[in-house]
Amino acid sequence: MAEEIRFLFYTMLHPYNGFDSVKYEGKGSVKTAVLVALLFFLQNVISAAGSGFLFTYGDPDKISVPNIFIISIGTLVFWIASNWAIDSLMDAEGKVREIIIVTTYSLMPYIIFSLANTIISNFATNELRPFMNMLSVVGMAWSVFILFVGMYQIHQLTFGGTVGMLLLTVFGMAVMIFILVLLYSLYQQVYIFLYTLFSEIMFRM
Amino acid sequence: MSRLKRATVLPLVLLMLLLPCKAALADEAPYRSYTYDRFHNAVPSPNGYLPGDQLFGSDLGVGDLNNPNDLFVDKERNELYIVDTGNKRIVVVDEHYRLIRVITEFDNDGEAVTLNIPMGIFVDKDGTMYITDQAEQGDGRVIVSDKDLKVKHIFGKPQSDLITENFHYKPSKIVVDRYGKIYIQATDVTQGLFCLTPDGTFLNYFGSNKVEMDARKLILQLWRKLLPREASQSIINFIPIEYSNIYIDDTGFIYATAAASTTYEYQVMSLNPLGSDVLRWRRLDWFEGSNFKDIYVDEYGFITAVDQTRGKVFQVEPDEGTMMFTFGGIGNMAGLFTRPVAIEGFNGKILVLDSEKRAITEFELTTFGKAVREAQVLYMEGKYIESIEPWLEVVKRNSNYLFAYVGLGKAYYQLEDYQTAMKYFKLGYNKEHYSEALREYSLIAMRSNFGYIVLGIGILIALIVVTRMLKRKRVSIKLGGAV
Repeated sequence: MAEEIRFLFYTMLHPYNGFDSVKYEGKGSVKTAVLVALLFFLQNVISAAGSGFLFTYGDPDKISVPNIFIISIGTLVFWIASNWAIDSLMDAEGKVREIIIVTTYSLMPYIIFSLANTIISNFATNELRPFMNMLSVVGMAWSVFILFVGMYQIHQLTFGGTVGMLLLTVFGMAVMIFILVLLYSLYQQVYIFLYTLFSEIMFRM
Repeated sequence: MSRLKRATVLPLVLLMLLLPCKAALADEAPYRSYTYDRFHNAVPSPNGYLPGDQLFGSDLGVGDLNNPNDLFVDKERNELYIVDTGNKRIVVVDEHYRLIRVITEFDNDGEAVTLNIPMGIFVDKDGTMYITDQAEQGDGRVIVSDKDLKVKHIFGKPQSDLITENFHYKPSKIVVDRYGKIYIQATDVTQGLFCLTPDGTFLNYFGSNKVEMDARKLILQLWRKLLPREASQSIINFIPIEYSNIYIDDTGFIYATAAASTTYEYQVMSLNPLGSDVLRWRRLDWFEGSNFKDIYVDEYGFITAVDQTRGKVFQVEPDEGTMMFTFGGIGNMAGLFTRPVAIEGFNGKILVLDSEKRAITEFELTTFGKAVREAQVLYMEGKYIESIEPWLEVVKRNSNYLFAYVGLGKAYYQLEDYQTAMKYFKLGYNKEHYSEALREYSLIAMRSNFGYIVLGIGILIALIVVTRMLKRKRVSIKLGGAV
């Protein structure tokens, strides 16, 4: 386990080598990936509930942990599923295991910087605000960069191909959400139809 | 024996039934007051104003009022003027609402001038009366008369190139500043207020409003540019919002309300001598959908405005526009209105004139209201420390009154008790001031613990150096072993 966590931090600083060994040496594990995903969820909860007064927006009474769970983990699941689907369509070389590992491992900088921000926000005055904004931008940029490198390594695409793939993944996520909403409303319609049918028959009998 | 018992018990029971009722009635108002919490949810609050007497024309001894339209308080002589439009007269009463006189006609060098449709009145410091008088047919006029009802001037429709020949002049509300300049709000005028010199010549339009733009209007304007002239003329014109009422305060600032503003951004205005709006606070979401009919500003600058759509009266403080109190509503009970048209402050009370009820309703400050005002006045004068006690009193009665916490925070900030200040700024949800208090607090904390901080950093550096040295030693030992 300690080895895996060391590898997690290794991928943060050496994404090319790190994700290359994910693909060809079987390094990294889904177990650690799940752990990182849970950490991501936890970080979202902490920054929603534990930020300093100056950096909290909205009503703290309205923070809902299940909601945060659905949004954070749901986004990851959608991303992974969509990326896998695009992967198959584009004939890229990534496997599910690799997609899961790259996606979650690349969240590490974001998680660390956000946690740091949350801790600082409890002592910071308004003057520190630009510095904190910079921190969160750095964290996000770092994460996106690692994600890009990881995707580039596991799918073995060209630079342009990887960019296209990431855009298509986002588009795929939108399509998936659209279909889910459609199914949900259709499900209601079908349910109502069956219910009326049932009650009609019951009236005739 | 039993009859005697019954005879004593029955009145007692009746008395018991009556007493709590009466006590309850004295406290209750037919409306519920509210303030806003930090996330702009309306939360209940104690009443700041409670309805007092309802005065009908018969109470003043002049018979029923008929469609009254304006109230004016002459502060010099402490008299109240009621413009009784339907009866073509102006009723003047003193501070105890005893009738002083009824004005129906003026003397213009032996010729009697009667009122047609009086809509508004203004009385200046030496008692000169300015009365707007509309006509059923044709143009209205402004009658200027001295206090003995001798007509000084009669101003008809202002003459200017800016005013077209077929314009129908209907002057409604009027104020006069201390230099004698006359400002007239007229119905169906969207260019602003008429500004006249003391001798009645037209100067300019004062305080012209802007057109409120929104997406729909922008698209229409684009069409108007694209279409040929004949077609574009069929598209509706956009006109600036029109004023609904004006008020001049003791310092000479003109306050105005706008009729039917759709974006609620320019519903209440404060015009400087150049005619531009200088109210610093904007976008009060609780004003949305309101149609303000009249405005009153008291000696401390508290702004009270009456909204005809909801029948509500809002009082806000002048600095940030925080809503202090709200009262009234639509209805027939005392304290509610069917068609409020005018509002004035008289002897520390708020008077609201209802043209359909034909009555003036008095509103008096409650203990809570007095505490809020006292604290707010001290706060505005910068006497934060003196305001601690009244603010605590306010918080005791209404823990949702956010502004009280800001006031308390400022007081403790001034006392250099930054921790308490932070607590109150947090309760008042004022991040800006909280940040300032926090900076002072962390500065003090850092100064008083400077020794420990230096010590901690020193130990940290020492630890790092020692571990480095140990590591190097181990490496060199390892290397030595290998070699």
